[in-house]
Amino acid sequence: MKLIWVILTVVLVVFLVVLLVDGLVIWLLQMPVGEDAGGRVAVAPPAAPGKEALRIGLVPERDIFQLRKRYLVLTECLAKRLGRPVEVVTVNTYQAVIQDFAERKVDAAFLGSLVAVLTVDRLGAQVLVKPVTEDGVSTYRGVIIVPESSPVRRVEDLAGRSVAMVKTTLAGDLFPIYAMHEAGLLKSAAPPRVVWVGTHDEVILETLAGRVDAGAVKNLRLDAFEATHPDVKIRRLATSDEVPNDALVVRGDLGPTVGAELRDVLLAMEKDPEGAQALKGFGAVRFVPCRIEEFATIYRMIEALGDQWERLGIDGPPPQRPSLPAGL
Amino acid sequence: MLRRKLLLTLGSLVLVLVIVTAAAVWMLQIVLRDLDHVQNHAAVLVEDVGRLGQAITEVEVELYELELGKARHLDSLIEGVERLRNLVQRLGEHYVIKGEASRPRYDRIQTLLPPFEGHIGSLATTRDTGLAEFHTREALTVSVAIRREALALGEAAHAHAREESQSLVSRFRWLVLGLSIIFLLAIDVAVLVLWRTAAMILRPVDRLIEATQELAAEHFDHRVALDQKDEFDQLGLAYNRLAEQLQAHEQHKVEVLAQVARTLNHELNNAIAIIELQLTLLQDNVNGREGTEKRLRQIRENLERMTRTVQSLKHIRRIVLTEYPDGEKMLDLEQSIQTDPPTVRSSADAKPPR
Repeated sequence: MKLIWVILTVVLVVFLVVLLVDGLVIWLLQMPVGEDAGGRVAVAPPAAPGKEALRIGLVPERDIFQLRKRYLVLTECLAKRLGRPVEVVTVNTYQAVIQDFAERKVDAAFLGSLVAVLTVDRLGAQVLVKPVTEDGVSTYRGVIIVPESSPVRRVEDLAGRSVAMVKTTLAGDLFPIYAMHEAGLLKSAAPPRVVWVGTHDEVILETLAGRVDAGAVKNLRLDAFEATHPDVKIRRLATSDEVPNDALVVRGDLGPTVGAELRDVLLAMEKDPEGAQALKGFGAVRFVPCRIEEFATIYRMIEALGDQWERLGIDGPPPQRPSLPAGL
Repeated sequence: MLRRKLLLTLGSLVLVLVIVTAAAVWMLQIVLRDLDHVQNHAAVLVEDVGRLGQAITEVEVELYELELGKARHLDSLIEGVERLRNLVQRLGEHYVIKGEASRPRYDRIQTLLPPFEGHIGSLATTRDTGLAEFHTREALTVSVAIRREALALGEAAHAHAREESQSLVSRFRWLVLGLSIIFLLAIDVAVLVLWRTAAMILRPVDRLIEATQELAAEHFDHRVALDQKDEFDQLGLAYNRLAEQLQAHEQHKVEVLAQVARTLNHELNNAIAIIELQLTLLQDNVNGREGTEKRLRQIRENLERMTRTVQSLKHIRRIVLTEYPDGEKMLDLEQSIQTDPPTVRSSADAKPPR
């Protein structure tokens, strides 16, 4: 009988001890902890010690925030494969990217076709690759547009009217000037009035808002806009030949090894799931090689413009056609 | 039984104290959690609102530098706007923002942010002077509006933090008061329980001590009455059995003495009657001799004394001894014939002898 009571007493004591210990543990676990009140910390891509960062420049043609996000996805994957940090350097003008190339502040850049031609011409840069989208698109065209309700039906009708354009781009600058030149408007009594805007999307918006009479825009952006705004009717007055879209250009003095390594990594990226995922985030399915010969349309337009090159608002002389194969 | 009672009583007491303590700790934990909440949420909210204004300023500075041609890289501007967007998003997750005072202002900021970003994006890339001026003007207008709303939001956050702090202090006061009362009650209960537990032990012990003293005083008819259904009951029963045995033994001795007294009475009465008869005959022949009369009178007196002694032996109720020369004991007749022995103390609560 005594044994039972001893056991019961011991059980009670053990229960109380366990209760107190559990309570203490719960108390400690529920101890308030300070929350991270700081901002987010950027995670640097893994890098081999001693290797300098590869800096890739961008010249925004549209929403600068979305554009940078897309390229960050790609450069993160690139950094892993190259074994060195890859930084994105966003500049606001083509002059800035050329200056960065000259001052060796960027090593490579995804550029519009006209700026790519300018960097090749003025700094001896080399065109490496271009992305291909899910729809198989790797080129684009320039388009001159007006609202469906506009009385303007031909390029010739733009005389004396305002045209929204984007500087140093084929679609937004070279092609409309070339088209106006071909239509004889540039030397007429009432040439079109150029209104420079920042992006192709803004060209569309400015045109549809009626703040300008017409706009010169990249067909890829126009197609995307029309897909999301099926009720908006837009008239296309003229369309250019196609040129490479977002070609990657590397600095001429970067050295053959780095350029080749970068090209090989980009071309092989589609072959594994991680690379394919990065390409998807970037908005492409693969990269394909790109050659300077694919920019022949630009050289042809520039040569046709002659002294009207100044109207593009680009400093310096027009780029000279490199030695291309016959027939181009 | 006593062990079980003690275990139940003390166990219940400890359990009550543990529960009260756990409840107190739990309530204090709630207060600490709320204190932590005020520090880590309200303070962070106020800090975030301050950062919002700072982020707007940084974006504006970047824009001015771009416009003045002092900068050509947009990364800081983009990061500044993204920081601004993230701050606004983080603010939206805060419960204070969901309150009536802050929600409209936050909604207004959310409404203003996309056009702000749009104007900044356009301004960062537009090379047309007129459009640049337009976007700058619009961006600054929106920026001022966002800053105004952020300021109001900051004031609301401050007010909320102040209200929460005051509410917490008030609640803490009530909690301290409540806990004090609960602990006082718990202490009262503990005192009552311990008093009852002590009584449960001391009362039977007192009765047993009293009974032992009665026994020492040869009051064998004294009994202990306990009804606790525990070990003390068993002890009381053992005492009562012992007292009964002693009482029976005493009664037996008294009966033996009474038998002796009856025998003596029977044997001595005849002798005394003959002696008295002879004394009466001698009295008739004394004829005025004074010395003889005196002797006869003394003989008669001693005879009466003997008669009384024998009579006393017949009325013995108990055995009371007294000291006799040479350390021996002898029967105290006077005490032994008394019906009621002297008591140690009154035992009103004692039951009649069983």
